[in-house]
Amino acid sequence: MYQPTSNDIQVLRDRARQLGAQLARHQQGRLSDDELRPLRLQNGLYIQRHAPMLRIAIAYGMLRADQLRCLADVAQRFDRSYGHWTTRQNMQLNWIEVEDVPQALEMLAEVGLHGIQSSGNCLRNITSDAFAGIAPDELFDPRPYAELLRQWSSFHPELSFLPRKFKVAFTATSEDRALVQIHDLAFEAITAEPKASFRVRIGGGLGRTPILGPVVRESLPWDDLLCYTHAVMRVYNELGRRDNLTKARIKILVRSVGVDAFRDMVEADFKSLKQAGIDRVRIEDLDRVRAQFLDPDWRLASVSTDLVQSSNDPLFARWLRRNSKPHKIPGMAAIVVPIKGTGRPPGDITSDEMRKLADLADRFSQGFLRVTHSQDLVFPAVPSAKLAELYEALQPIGFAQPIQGLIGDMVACPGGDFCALANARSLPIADEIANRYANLDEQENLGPLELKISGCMNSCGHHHIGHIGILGVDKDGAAFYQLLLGGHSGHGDRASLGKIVGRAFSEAEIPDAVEAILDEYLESRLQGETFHQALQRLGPAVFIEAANAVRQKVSPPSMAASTLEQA
Amino acid sequence: MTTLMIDLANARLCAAKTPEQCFDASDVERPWLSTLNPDEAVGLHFGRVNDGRGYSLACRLREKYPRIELYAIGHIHEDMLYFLRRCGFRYAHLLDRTDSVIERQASDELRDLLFPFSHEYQVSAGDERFPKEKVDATRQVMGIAA
Repeated sequence: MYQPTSNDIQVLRDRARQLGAQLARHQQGRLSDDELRPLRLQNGLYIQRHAPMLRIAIAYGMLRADQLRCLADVAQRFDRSYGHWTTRQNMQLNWIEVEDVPQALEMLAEVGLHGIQSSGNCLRNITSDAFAGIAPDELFDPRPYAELLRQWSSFHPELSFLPRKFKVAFTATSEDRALVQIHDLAFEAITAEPKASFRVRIGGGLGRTPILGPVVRESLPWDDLLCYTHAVMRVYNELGRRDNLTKARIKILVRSVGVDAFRDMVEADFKSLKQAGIDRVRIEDLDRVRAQFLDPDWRLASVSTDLVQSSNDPLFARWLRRNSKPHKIPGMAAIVVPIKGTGRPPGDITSDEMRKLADLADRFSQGFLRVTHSQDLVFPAVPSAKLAELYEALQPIGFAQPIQGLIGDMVACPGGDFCALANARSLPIADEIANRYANLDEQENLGPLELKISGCMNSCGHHHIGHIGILGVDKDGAAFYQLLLGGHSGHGDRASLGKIVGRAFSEAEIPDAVEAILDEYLESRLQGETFHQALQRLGPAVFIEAANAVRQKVSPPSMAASTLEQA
Repeated sequence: MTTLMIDLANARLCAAKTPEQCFDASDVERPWLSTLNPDEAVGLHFGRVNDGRGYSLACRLREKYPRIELYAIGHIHEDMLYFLRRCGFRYAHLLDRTDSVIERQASDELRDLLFPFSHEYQVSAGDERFPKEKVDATRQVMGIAA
C-alpha cells in the first residue's frame, strides 16, 4: 500500500492546524455557520443527530496495523471507544466533540490518516476493489492510479465547491467488486500496462434517483486520467444544478442533457486542458507514486498451496471456504474478517477489537489490512500454512464467523440511531434479522445473499443493490420500511437496481417479511439455485405475495424524520 | 467600510480598487466574453456562499489570457483566499468582519490563509508552475466553453 512521504505527512499536519484555525475564526465570528460548513465537512466533520461525527478516509480501503491502532486510540481518547466502518471504506466516529477534532486529526496525521474530503461537495475518498493488487483476475494494480487522482484532487482549488458530492471508484477486473456503476465517475481497466487504459463511466449513483452509470468514454489512456477528470468536473462544476439539492448530483446533469451532449462538452474541455498541459501525467509521476507502494513480502508465501492443509476440522474448512478469496500469489490467502454478527451493528468495532485485529494483522498478514465496501476487514497476505493458526486466533475474539457473502454479512448504515438524515432506524432491523439467522447452518443453507439496509433515501446502506434491500421511510412521523427486490452489486454478475415492491412495512413487520421471502425461496428453489437466480427465474410476484402475508393490522409508531445535513 | 484589499500574490494588504469590468462569477452564459478586454483588470463577483463556479471561470480566463488581472469581489471570506489565489486571482476584497486579517493587519495569519499547505499536489491557474508559455502558444485553439 501507499506509504506517505514526509511531504504527505506534513500536509496532513498542516490540514489539522488549518481546521483548528478555521474553528477559532468561527468562534470569533469571522466565519458564519454557512461559511464554516463546507470547510469542516471537507475534513469529515459533521453535526449529527446526537453529536458531531468525524469520518476518517481509508484511501481506497488500504490500511496498516499501526493505522488501525491509531484509530483505536483516537476512538478511545475522543469518542466512546468504538468506530464504524462505512460502505465507502471510511471509518466514522459518532460521538466526538468538535473542539477535539483538530487534535484527533493531528494524531491521525502521524500515521498518514485524515478526514480530507471524506465529506462535502468535492471529490470524496476514492474507493477501489478491496482485493486490488492481490486479485488473480486483475489486469493491473489500479491503486497507483487511484493515488495519483487522490493527490491531484486534494484541496483542488478549482473543484472544492461543486454542486454536490462526487464519488470516484477504480477497478481493474471484469468482475465489478468496486461498485463502479454506482459512482459519479468510475475507471475500469481495459488494457494492460505499460499501455494501461480505462473505460470511463459517468453519472451513476443511488440515492433518490438510482442510476447505473453509462459509459462516457470507451478508452482513456492512463496519462490522461487527471486531465479527463478535470474536464468532467469542470463541466459539472459549471453546469450542475445548485438550486435544488436533490437534483445537484452529476447523474441528474448527465440525464438532463443526455450522455452524448455531456460527452461532447467534456471532450471540448478535455482538448483545451490537454493542450494547456496543466494536468499532464508523466511516467515519472506514476513511477514516483508507484515507488511509495510497499507490498507484503511475497517470499513469505507458503510452499504448500493447499489451503485446507491436513486439518480435519469441519468448522475450519467451512471458515476457509467462506472467508478466503483467490490470491495472485500461490501459497498466500486473502481472508475476509466480517465485522458483523448478533449484537453487533454491521461495521461497528471497539478500540479493544481494533487493537486485537491490528496485532493479528502484524502476526499473520505482515501488518497489512483492507476495508471493504461491505463493512468488513481483509487480511490480504496470510501464508496458507498459517491459516489454521489465524482461525484459532480469530475465534476467541469473535471474528472467525464463516459468513462472508451470507445473510449475516449484511450491510447497514448507522440509520436513525445516529444519522440526522435518517427516516428510520437501520440497526434494530439488522439486529433482529441477524438474530433470526444466527444459526450458521441456516445461513449456509440460504447461500449467497446480499441484504442491504438504509435508513433513508441517501442510500448509504446501498439498499438498491442488495438482493434484498430495505429502505427506511417516514410516513406521517412514523418510521416504515420499503422492501426492494432484484438488486445486485455486480459481484459475479451484472449490476442491477432493485425495485420497491408494494407498500412499506412497519418496524415490527419488516423482519417477518424478509423471513417470509426467504422461506419462499427455500420452498421454490431449484438444486444449486441462489436467491438472486431464483428471483430472476420466478420474478418478484411470488416473493411479494409471501411478504404481504405477514402484514399486521396495527403498526407501532416510531421516530420522525428530520434533516440537518446532507450525507 | 475598509479601504484595503488583499494582494493575493504577495500576501499583503493594499489600497482597495474595483475594476470597471465586473461580472457575475456564477454566470455560465457569459455573453460579455466577446467584448472582454483582457488587458484591463476584471472583477468577478461572488454572490453566494460556497458557489464554486467562479473558480472555474477564473481558471478558464487565466488559461485563455495568462496575464489577465482578476479581482475577487462580493461575498469573500478569509478562508476563500487560498482557493482564489490558486485559481489565479490577483486581488480580493474581503467582507468587513471584526478582527479580520485586514482590520488587524495580521500579516502572519494572512500568509497562513494564503499558503496553508507546505506542499501542493496539483498545478493550478495561480501557480508559478502554471505553463504560461504553453498556454500562450495554444491560446488560439483554446476557447472559453459556452
